[in-house]
Amino acid sequence: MKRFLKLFYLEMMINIRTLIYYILIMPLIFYTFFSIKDGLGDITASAYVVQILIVGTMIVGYQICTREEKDECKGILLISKCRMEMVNARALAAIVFNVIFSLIVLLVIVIFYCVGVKEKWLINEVIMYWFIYFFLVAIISTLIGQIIGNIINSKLSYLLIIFISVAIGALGKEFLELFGTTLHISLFKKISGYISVGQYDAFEKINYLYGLEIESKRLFHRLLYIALLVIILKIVMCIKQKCNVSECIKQIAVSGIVCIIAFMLFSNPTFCRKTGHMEEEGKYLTKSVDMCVDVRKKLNVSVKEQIEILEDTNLIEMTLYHNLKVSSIVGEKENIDYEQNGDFITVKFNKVAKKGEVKTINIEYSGLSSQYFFAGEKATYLPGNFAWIPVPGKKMVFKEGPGFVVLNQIENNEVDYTVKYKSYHKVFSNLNYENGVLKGKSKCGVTLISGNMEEDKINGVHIYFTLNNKIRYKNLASKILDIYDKCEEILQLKCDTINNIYVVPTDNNVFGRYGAKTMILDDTIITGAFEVAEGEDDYLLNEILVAILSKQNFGDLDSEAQNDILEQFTIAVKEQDREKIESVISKYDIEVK
Amino acid sequence: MKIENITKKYGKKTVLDNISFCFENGIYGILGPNGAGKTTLMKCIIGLEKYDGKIEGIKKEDIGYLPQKFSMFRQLTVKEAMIYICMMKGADENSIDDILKKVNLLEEKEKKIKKLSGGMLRRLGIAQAVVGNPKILIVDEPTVGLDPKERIRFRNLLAQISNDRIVLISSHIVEDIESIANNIIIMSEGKFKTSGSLGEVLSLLKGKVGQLQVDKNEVSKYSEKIVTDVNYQGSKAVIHLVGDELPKCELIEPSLEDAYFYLCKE
Repeated sequence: MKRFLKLFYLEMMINIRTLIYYILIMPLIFYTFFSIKDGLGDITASAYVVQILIVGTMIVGYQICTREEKDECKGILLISKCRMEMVNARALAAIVFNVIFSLIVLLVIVIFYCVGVKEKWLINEVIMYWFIYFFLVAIISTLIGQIIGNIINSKLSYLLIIFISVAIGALGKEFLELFGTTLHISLFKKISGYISVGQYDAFEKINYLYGLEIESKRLFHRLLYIALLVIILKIVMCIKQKCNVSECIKQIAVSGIVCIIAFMLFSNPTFCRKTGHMEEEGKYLTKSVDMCVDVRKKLNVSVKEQIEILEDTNLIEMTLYHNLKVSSIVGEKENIDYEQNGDFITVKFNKVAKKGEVKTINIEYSGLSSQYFFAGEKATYLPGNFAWIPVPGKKMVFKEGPGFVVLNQIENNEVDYTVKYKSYHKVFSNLNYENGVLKGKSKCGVTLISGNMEEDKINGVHIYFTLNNKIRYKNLASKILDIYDKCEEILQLKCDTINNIYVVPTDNNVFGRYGAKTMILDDTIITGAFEVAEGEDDYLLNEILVAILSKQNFGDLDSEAQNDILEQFTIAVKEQDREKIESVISKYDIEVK
Repeated sequence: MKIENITKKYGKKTVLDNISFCFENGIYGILGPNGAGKTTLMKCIIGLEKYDGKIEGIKKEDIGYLPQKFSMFRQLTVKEAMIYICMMKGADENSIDDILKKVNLLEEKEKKIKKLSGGMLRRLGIAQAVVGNPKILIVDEPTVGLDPKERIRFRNLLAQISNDRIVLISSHIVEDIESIANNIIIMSEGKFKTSGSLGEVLSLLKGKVGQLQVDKNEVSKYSEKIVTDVNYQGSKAVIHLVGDELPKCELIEPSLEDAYFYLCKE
């Protein structure tokens, strides 16, 4: 090990002192700067940075691997007895060195964060994005460069490197499609989705197969990629170094074990989520929920539910978001078996529970969040109708619409909640804060939102907002309330009075039809529609209408129908024309509660 | 080290032709023209080339090798390069200073390799070759590209480090081999033409080397096959002759150069 470390150190010194490699830094900084100059959130548009990183690190990986020939010391190194250790140390040094280039991107991001608006939630997201999109991609392209270097040592290799780096990079999909079409080879198009690390499309091939949780799926994809490349690299290294079969197997086994450990440590593959499309009502009702929630590191929940059985049964089904892993379910007076399968939990009592019987069950679970809804030391974003607390029956946590996926608006009967929580931040909720605990009744679960936020009260309505909305939240909130009132009037809504408005960042698509970022939960509106809403009242009206209609069968209609409804409703609300509303309702068989 | 029936072919061309030899401790100078197969033989012994035949009595780690074209990673210092080699050979790095002292590079140990002169680089080559105190030292064309002063220095260095080991030096420079080697092998067309001590090699040429003074115009009458040197002195010329059938001339003591000419002529 000592020898390996020393060789690694010397290889690193060679890398660090090879000044030509640093040419890569300039375009990296240049494009990183331009991709985030309007805000850190724009880092996702940094295709050039990724492409440069892929090409650059692949070339560096290749050059490091073929350095012996260039420096005319192959002969003396070939006869050394510790050659395999040297080759491994060199491979690792190449990876570590190339990771430094991705760290430069991170450094620029951090500097921007420090000198700009310090939005903590955003820097968390951006670092996660950096990890998957820059850090792991740098490792992947270095490994590919090394594999090429072990197979081919010729100037022509650079052409191959350019081809591969474009194919897996940000331009890859279009490039491979063009290449495949030109050569009439459909295979290129087929594999583009699997090999691409430079761009991401949630609805494309492997990503879509994995499910919705884009970040964990992407992480899994990258780690799988790395594991395969490490094994291929080991094989080509063993062949090149003329290792015997047992040495080769040993090398591959060691790298395989390292990859498995890395998987266990870093990946949280959740591709097994297959909820299907059929929903089942629960055989019980939740009467009350008494829970302890700890969001200091990840979401840790201990919940005591009182449930009323609706029919004689010894099995009940409940829905809990699959990334939250149940560690125990126990009854108050009896043993309970349970099985967690994807988003569903099947609870089996040891004897048949009678209709009307009230049972108490204690459930403990914890886990990481999805990309959209999360809980952690820096921020928490758990809307009440996201299944982070078990709900009766088999419900789809997310629903697929025409070309998009949205949060399923699961509603309960009215439940009595008592929530004790531990958080580093003040937590805002739809429940009332009384003597250190959150208490209240809700049909839409418990909403917990915290982070870099403040609150205010306008005309009796609580406004909770992230600091980036400090200037606009008042204007935005009063507009939302105005529009909501108008809608209520013309649509003849019988909804709760809005008491809470959350102005928080929200991804597109999550809450409603394509592009919508607003959701209504009981007396609460959650909206992320602050970026384009200023001065665009029609857009805001559209958001509110979608939020209202999303509670109906609106989400199941095709996009043409949705557009038509929205257009007619918008005109109707603006013109205060109830007749138009009636005609749309009858045309599309929707009802407005 | 014993080599038996070593044959190496590149396509149809036979580069080493059924060579057998037994090496014991001492310095062996392999002398031969370019293309004789010297480097290929060395690469076979080291294990860098595949071959037919058998090589016994050595392990890979017993060999120190200085190739004809030598360099190390240019970004490293002399000391770092030596540490690198120590790690590669599994040798003790405490011996580095001693080795560098021997090759007179101790003062340059913090210098980057890219800043070393040609002579220094060859000395570093020897230093890396002796790391781990190998039983066999193989040095391929060690003095190519060195100025006369560096050549003498390098020859002395080789002589110093040759104790208790087999040292194989290949060269086409007769003077180098003559001054260092105590065993000489003359190689041509993939074969060992002769081997032995300098005296033994020269005894083959007894009565086959002579010199003759002739008119300057008559030099061309003598076949190029036997004339190795012509020295013009006014209207006269002294020609140096090597061959089995010499014209009437004054017989003189042969030199290694004569043996090389005699055995390696086409």
